[in-house]
Amino acid sequence: MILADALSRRYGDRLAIRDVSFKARPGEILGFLGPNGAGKTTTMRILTGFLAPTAGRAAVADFDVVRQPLEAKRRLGYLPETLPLYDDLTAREYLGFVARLKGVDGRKIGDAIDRAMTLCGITDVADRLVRNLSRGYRQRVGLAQAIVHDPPVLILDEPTSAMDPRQIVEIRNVIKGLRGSHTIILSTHILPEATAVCDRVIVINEGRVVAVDTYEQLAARLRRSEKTLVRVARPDGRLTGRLAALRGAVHVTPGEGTGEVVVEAGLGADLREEIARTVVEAGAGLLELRPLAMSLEDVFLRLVTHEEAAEEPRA
Amino acid sequence: MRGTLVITRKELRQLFSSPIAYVALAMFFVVNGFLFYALVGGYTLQVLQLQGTPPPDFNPTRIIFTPLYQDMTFVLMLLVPVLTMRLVSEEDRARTMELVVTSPVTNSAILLRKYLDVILLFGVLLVISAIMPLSLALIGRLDWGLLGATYTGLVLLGAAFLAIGLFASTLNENQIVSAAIGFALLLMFYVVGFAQQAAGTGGQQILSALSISAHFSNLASGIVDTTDALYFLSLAGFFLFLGIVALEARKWR
Repeated sequence: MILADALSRRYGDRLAIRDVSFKARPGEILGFLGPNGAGKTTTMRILTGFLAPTAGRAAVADFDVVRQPLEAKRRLGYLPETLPLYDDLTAREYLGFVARLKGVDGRKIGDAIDRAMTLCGITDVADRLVRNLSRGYRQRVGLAQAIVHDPPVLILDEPTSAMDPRQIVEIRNVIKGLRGSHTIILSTHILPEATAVCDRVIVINEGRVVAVDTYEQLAARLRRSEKTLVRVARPDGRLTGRLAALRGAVHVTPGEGTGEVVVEAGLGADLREEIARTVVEAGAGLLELRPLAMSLEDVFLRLVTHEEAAEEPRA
Repeated sequence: MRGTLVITRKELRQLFSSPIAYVALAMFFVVNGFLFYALVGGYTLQVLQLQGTPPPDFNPTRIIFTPLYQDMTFVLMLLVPVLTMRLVSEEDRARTMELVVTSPVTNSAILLRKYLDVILLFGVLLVISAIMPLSLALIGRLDWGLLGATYTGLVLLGAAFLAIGLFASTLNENQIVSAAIGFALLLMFYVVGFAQQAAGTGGQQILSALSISAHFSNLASGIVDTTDALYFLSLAGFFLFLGIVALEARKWR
């Protein structure tokens, strides 16, 4: 549904993205994750036809964005990073303008506006000037603009930026509601967002795709050990020693909180039963015992730092 | 056309949401009104001196309106960049151009729509300015042929001016800079005829062929020549083309 094939983009001497390739399957929500300046916006601008690629090919709904731009753009809804709002119009007028611009049939414009406003929860501010809306509402008007012509493909650049937590949840629900009927690419540098909304994640750093996979698989691939967190009432040095002596334990380190110990074991080993027995036998007072999953932050940082470490010798 | 009218409403709303449009229009009407007043005053004096026996070629329309519209072109040179400066620049600054460009419309359609919008606005200005000759038509007979030729000239000249201003607006996201570029281009085409004396015979012809004022004075003196019409239309076409190229080039920047 969305195809990026070896895309590169040069700004003067600087290569903003190089060799970016990925595919979004119909109906899926693809997360585009990376630090600021990684090339997310550049890639999205190429997909929307705003920028031409220096090399490579991009297609939306099987239409090449350079050779058949109008066909591709007709099937595309785009929320740019900076909201493209006309302050002097009301929300309803603005959406009417966008609907006509996107080629919505004249008689259906009213319905299209109402649908988009209901989905994004802006019906109550429909007749206020965009200029006077709060940041959260402006963001929602921006999203309504992207879906007003009901395009099969949505490209959303940081759709939840500058919103409060409650609004973020609402917008995420709107986006999740579009899953299945729409193919969506959304970019974010907020990591939990990718886990909350996306089916798959593309991690991009310094203009290159570092990984494409589901979050679970990314985490599994990067996990080098099984970590278990133990919290006890009466910690002492001997307990640490006894845990380290367990068969299969590789590392025992103090945790962040008081009385916390992290036991690291080889991949695939489950030491929870042995750990529990050891703690109870030592009389340390077991309070908590749980496996430590890798957070997306960890996955992300490891991918990104890994990439940087590989770059350094060449530089 | 429907789409055009919709954009026009939006464009007008935006234009009149800033005080600059009111200032510019007020300037246009005050200056023209003053010139009109002065020229009618001068005409009255002339009539009194003739003591009721006008020569056979005496033409009130030529005495009052030919200089009036000649001067009006100079006012338009100042006004047009103000009308066109925000057309693209403001959309760039507000980042709404990203929405427009990623919509299923071509760059030429985007630019032509904006051009038609501002031509419509300019048309309204001309219609309002027609109050001046119409007010005199109530009390005397006017040379309608001459006025028709002059207004044809104004429409053609406006079409060229607006295309130049619109092109200037595609170059920069700062409205003031766009207005300055537009004014500089117009001024260049305006004064290019002034250098005629300095140039040799061949150069004289070329410079006069490029000069806005030379082509307009033909029309303002009642001579409707296709050469002059073609001059203004090709000037408009050329700068519209440059504007479309400028929009297209952005993708590759």
